Amino acid sequence: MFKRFFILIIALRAIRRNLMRSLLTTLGIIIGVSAVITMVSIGEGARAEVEAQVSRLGENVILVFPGARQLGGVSIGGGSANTLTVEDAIAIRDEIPEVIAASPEVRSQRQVVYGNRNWATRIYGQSADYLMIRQWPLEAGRMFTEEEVFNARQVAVVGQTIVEELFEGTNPIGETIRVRGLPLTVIGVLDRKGMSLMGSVQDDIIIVPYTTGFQKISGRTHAMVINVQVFDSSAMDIARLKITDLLRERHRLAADQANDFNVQTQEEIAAAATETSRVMTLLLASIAGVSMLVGGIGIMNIMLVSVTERTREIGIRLAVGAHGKHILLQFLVEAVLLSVIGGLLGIAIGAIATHMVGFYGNMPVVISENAIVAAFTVSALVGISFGFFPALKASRLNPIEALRHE
Amino acid sequence: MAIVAALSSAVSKPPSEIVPNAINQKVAPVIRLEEISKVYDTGGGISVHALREISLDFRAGESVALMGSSGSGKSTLMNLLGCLDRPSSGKFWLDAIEVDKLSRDQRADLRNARIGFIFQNFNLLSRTSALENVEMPMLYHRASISAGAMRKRALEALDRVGLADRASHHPNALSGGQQQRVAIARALVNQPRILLADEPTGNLDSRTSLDVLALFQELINDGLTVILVTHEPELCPFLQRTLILKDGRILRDSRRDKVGSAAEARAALGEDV
Ligand SMILES: Nc1ncnc2c1ncn2[C@@H]1O[C@H](COP(=O)(O)OP(=O)(O)OP(=O)(O)O)[C@@H](O)[C@H]1O
Ligand SMILES: [Mg+2]
Repeated sequence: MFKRFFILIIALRAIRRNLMRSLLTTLGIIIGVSAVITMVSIGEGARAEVEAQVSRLGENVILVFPGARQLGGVSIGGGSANTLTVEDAIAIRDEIPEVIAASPEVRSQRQVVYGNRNWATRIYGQSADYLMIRQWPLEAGRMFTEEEVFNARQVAVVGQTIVEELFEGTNPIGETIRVRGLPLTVIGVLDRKGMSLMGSVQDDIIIVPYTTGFQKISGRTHAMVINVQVFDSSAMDIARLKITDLLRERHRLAADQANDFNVQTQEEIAAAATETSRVMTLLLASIAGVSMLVGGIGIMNIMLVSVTERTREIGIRLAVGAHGKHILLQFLVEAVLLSVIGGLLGIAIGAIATHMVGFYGNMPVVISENAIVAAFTVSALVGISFGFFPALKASRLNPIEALRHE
Repeated sequence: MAIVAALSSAVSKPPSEIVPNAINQKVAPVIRLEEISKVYDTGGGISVHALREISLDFRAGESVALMGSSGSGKSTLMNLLGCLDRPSSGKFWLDAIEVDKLSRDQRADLRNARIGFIFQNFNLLSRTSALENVEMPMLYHRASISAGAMRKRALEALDRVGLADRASHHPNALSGGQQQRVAIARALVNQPRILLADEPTGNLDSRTSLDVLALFQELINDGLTVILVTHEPELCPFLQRTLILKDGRILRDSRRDKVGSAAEARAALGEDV
């Protein structure tokens, strides 16, 4: 019986001996795996975002997104097109009888400072009736008023996560927090909402008047979404038609022009989100496949070189009694180790890259455990499949010819 | 010797076969060759007859010097005896096993357990310590040997060739003679019946050559069959039998009654100035 443990040691030694080359060999795998992890994390982040949007909706809510219908029928993240104005939101509320509230939304990912503590969170600009739309009660304090919205006052209503992270549980009402130097006075604290279906924390939120959000925080001019509430579920269809007509008229769209916005109900969004994530997963899987293929070819290439380089070693091992399968196993284990080490490095780099994208890119990201497990498994499989041919070549060498090789 | 007693498990051999050769003429030979030929196909229709119908017996405990001019077929014969290569025709028995009927893996097991092969250029793994080089044949042994036992046996073999204190050195930190002794330790570690050495002293000076030869003589006394290829006639007096090859045939096969002691000859030379 050949001792399996020793093959591992032999392979590890061979890798250590050529550390630089081993590292370069696995570069393909490292890049492939880290790219997959980063992309899947961004995809998952987007999905969690959509999911959160869906579950954030209150009853009888219609969302109006800017831009034409996008991939899978839902606008991910929103704000990609600048077609919805604050005036559109006001017009929807004032001119359509079925609508009882409309809030033009603007979001910004920002670092928030209180004293010597700081926290990265998401700041929402909304109208005064937003909490009514969301049916979201306050735990303490009050919501800002229409007058405060009109005057773009620097006031904020904060979620439970903010109370915990910035104020360490103390009463934040009346305190001043800063967003890039802009002071905001806390006037209200939201009730705990808990996790959304996807596991994103909805309490990690600060709500400010949309005027403040547009002018003083985000610098944007157009709404990322308009949250609309209809007085009764029976009026949803008619409200939807009226909103469409109104916006087409306001945007002066000719009869043959497509909508430059899209109106969606909660159910539609939920269905579209599922579709989106399916398409996204497919896309990412194919990218993963290609990068793994490239990485595998790199490993095969180096293993073939390695077999040629170490022909004499193989000859010596055969001469002292190694079977073909021992040599096969030795080189196979080496290839698998290489790709698995590459996979682990790729996972680490992917995790770091994901955090950087989330932090500097102001993008929601969710590191996917499934992606990590899949990337690791695939890299091991790549090692086995692409290491097999060189290993087989090594195991079939003739001992005398191998010994004569120089 | 103590070491052979210690290294006793791998190969089972009836005690009678270990008796030095002078007494046991009737014992079955360790190696028997019958009309062995080897033809190399060099391509383009040209073939080289490296060995032509050679018939030979080697007995247990015999020591043989294989001589002959360059190209006479010495290495070809050694490779066949070492089960590294197969003859083109003829029959070959090793310990009454007909080698030519064995599979590739079975021949590998035979090399591993019964044959120690020593090369002119040592053939050690360069970036691997002496100890690990010596341990290597045990990795491929059929019997499971624990890491501790492997280490112990490898150290014993190194001790036997006088290199116990160099166990952790890499071959490139050792002299030629020391490297060859590591190679001998590696050849001995699985307690083979036969030691085959193709010009083992070809890269060594005369003092070191005698050291190596003295070591071989100890092994011969322990019952090993030693066949060594050499170009140096002055080594023949230390071996019982001399075989001379010419153009793939045996030109002469002679035995001597009195074998000189390589250890004494080495002592007489004294130390280098
Ligand atoms: N692989 C091979 N292919 C073709 N011819 C070979 C091969 N190996 C050996 N020969 C030929 O067989 C003959 C015997 O070679 P061998 O190596 O056995 O000689 P040798 O006695 O060991 O010589 P030396 O003393 O130089 O080592 C030579 O003519 C050689 O050219
Ligand atoms: Mg030769």
